[in-house]
Parts: sequence; C-alpha cells; structure tokens
Amino acid sequence: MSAREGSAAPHLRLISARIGHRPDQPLFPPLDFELWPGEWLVVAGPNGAGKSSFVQSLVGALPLLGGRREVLTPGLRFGYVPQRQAFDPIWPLSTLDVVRMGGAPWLPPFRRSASLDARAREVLEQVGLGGLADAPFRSLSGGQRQRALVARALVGGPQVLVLDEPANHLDLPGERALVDLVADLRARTGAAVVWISHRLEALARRADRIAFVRAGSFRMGSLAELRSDGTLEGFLDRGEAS
Amino acid sequence: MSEVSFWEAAFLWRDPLIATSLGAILCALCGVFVVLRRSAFVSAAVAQASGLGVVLALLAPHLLGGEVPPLATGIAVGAASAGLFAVSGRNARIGVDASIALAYVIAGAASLVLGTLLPHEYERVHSLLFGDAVAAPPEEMAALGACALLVAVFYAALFPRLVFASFDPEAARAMGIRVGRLDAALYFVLGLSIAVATRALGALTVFALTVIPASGGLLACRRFPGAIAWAAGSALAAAAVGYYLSFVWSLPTGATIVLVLAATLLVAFALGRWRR
Repeated sequence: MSAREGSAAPHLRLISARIGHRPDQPLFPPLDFELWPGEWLVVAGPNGAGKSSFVQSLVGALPLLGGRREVLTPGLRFGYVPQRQAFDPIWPLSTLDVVRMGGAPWLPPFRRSASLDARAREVLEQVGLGGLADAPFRSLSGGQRQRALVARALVGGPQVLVLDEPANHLDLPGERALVDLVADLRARTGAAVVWISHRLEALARRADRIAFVRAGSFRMGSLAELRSDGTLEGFLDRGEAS
Repeated sequence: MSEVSFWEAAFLWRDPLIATSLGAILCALCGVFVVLRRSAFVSAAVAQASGLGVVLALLAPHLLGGEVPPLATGIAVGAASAGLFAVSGRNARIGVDASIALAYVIAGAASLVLGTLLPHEYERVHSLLFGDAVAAPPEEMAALGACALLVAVFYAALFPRLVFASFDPEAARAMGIRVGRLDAALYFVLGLSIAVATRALGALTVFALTVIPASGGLLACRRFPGAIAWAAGSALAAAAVGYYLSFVWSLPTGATIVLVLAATLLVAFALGRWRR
C-alpha cells in the first residue's frame, strides 16, 4: 500500500499555483499538487529548470505569484537540507550546535530545551556522527557535514523532510549511501521526503512519485509512467535505474 | 602625570566609568553578531546616518517651521539605517557590506552638503553626536542601560533563531523562521545601541568596541558562549584599564581604551594559537 493510499488527507495542497520570482514570468503553467504523508517525492530536472523554486513555494518560503497554498496538517513541520555545504568558517559552532538549530523554529521565546539537546544527540547517533557531537562543525568532511545537516533537518520532528540537491558534492556511491540513510530515517520517522535532484540514478527506485521539471513544463507521475510517456527520455540513465 | 591620585578623584570618574563600562558591554554584545555577519563597518555607517539625522533635525525649523529634537532624530535615523541594511543585504542584488558602505558615504556627503546651510552649528552637531567618555550625564547612562537591557532581552528571547537565521538563512527560512523580519529587528537593535553608544563614548571607541572584543572571542574560543563571554569580559576590562591609564597618564580616554582593546586581541590570538 502506498503512503497516499494509507492517508486520509494530504499534508498540503497547491491549487492553480503560479510559481516564480517575477509576476510576469511564472516558471510553469498553473499547478495543482498535493503532498501526502510518508510519500517519497523526487523533484527532478536539469539545472536551472525551477526545481528549487517549486520546493520553496511548497514549504512557503517563496510566496506564490497566484493561486493558493493550503496546509491541511495543523502545525506542519518541515525539515530542510540545503544544497550548499560551504558555511562561513568563522562561526564558533560544534556539530551539536548546528544540529540544535533545527529545533529553533519551534522553540518558544525565552525557552531553552534540555530535551532538544538529548534529541540532537540521538539524531546525531542515527546519522552516524555520535562521536563528533562536540567537534567543530567547520572541521567535518563534506560527507559528515551533509549528515549533520540531515540531522539538523530531523531534530524538530518534521512531517516533511526536504533535501535540495544534497548529493551535489558527492560521488555516486556517496549519494547512494545518503539515499540509504534517508530511507532508513524515513522508515523510522514516517516523514514524507521531497528530494530535489538533477540526476535520478540513485533515487528513481525509491521514489513514489517523480515531479519532472524542464523548460517551462511540469510533469508528475511514477517512474514507469514518466518513462512510458517519454518524459524522462535523454535524462535517465536506464542502466542505473532499471 | 596627574597631580590628584586616581582614587582621590573618584567623584570625577565614577559615573563616566560606569557609562563606559555599560557602553563597552553593550557594544561587545552587539559586536558578536556584527563580526559574525561580516558587517564590521556597521557602526561607522550608523554614526554617519545619525549625523545626517541631526543635521536634518537642525534644518527642520528652517524647512518645516517647527522644532524637531536633534539628538532623538539622530539616534532614530541611525537605528533605521541599520534596519535598512537587513532588507538590502538579503533581498537586493548587492550585499550587506555594500549597503553599509553606501549608507556611510551617502549619509556623510549629505551631511556635509546640508551642513553648509548650518554654518554656525557645526560644533553643536558634533557635540550632539560624538561623546568622549569623560562626561556622563544621567540621561546618557539611562539610555545606555536601557539599550543594554534591550539587547540582553532580545538575545534571551530569540538567540537560537538569531543564530540559525544568521548562519544559514536559506534553511531557516525553509523551516519556518521569518528571516527578513528577524534580520530587520536585529539590525534595528544593533543600530539603536550603536547610535546611543556613539553619543556617549565617541565613534572611534564604539567602532573598536563592536569589532575588537568579538574578534578576540572568535580567536580565543571555539564555542559560542565562550566567544560571547570573552567579548563582554575583554571589553569591560579594556574599558576599565583604558580609563585608568588615560587618567593617570593624561591620555585621550577613547583612544587609550582602543589601544588596550588591541592588546586584548593579541592575548586572544596567542591563546587561540596555544589551544589549537
């Protein structure tokens, strides 16, 4: 049974959504879209096609140019793993400090939370960085940093985990290890996963649905559907994904 | 050397030293985010914008026919200019460093040009804006205390969000933090504090107190709480020692404090190297 079949209602819905940064230049025709609890959605397409803008609108960080965004899960929480890995090294932060940031959006003013500390250590263990909690964040390797950012995204207990091209700086084995890690975390937490990528090799078989963005068009379906209608032609490495 | 001993002259330095110490802690607390956000010249720009505010207020009777309080206007314009850095830095096509530089040069030039309309009030503009840390009227001490309290409450309420939004604004925004509003609030609080401190201590001293203690904290300490503690402690120590040395050796107070701050930076650098 898919995540969608087991859920009464989607987390959120875009209705006739016009997405983009300039009112006179929406990136796609108006979209209708639903994000379901527990589903794994891959947003794929070439660089610069508008994948990140779509996801920014989904999480509410980029206002719609038109249409509506409805959140149907009260208090819906997003965890977010950014594309970039280069952070200003002058910040005196430990790995644990960075992970704790993920709880900040839900921490009431004037409150410190001991349970957030414990939760941050627990999530660091889950991503395999338990021994590096007190290490300076700037001293971590690229792969370790990416895992710490995944932990930061998870520490607030999000219902939706968004990853914006998190494997850009990783080779294919590194990307596969990250996909396996997220799949494991998804199985534990039940969070929906929205993964943006400009390549599908390591992701295609995990995805419940693929949203494919290219040159002003937005197509969505399962891997099989997008393959059969030719949407993925020239994009998917069939040897890897089959 | 002074003929009256430092301790005999306590009635002279007690209030100014309290004001200097308050200003030092205030600037150091502000300075941590100023330095981490790579906005070191914000205090110079705020001082220039405050100057423009004072000039505009002094011109108001000629242009508008009514009095406007110059000092309050200067402080308000200085604080507002810092709020604008947040908006321009995050959303526009230029960075916050360029916004600060633009505010500095445009406000400075505008003050000079408009100041030609007030040829007899240059001294008044200068005395309204730039204190020298050797006099501390009660209203200045009250303003410094209020700003220190404001910064402490602001940090206590929102510190985790401030750190997240400053370190990784993209992720903070995606996870529900209103980064634009938080940035504007932070810069407004910094601008207000810097404008008030500049009035009490002088532009050079405030510039040094916002940059040097925070830089020392980042050099000496690996963690955020340590860096903040170093910044506040070294600023307070430098203010007290600098004030004492300036008294007993009859040196300019602000400049002496700056040189003592520079010495703390050397200590921080050495400590950081030793800990590495």
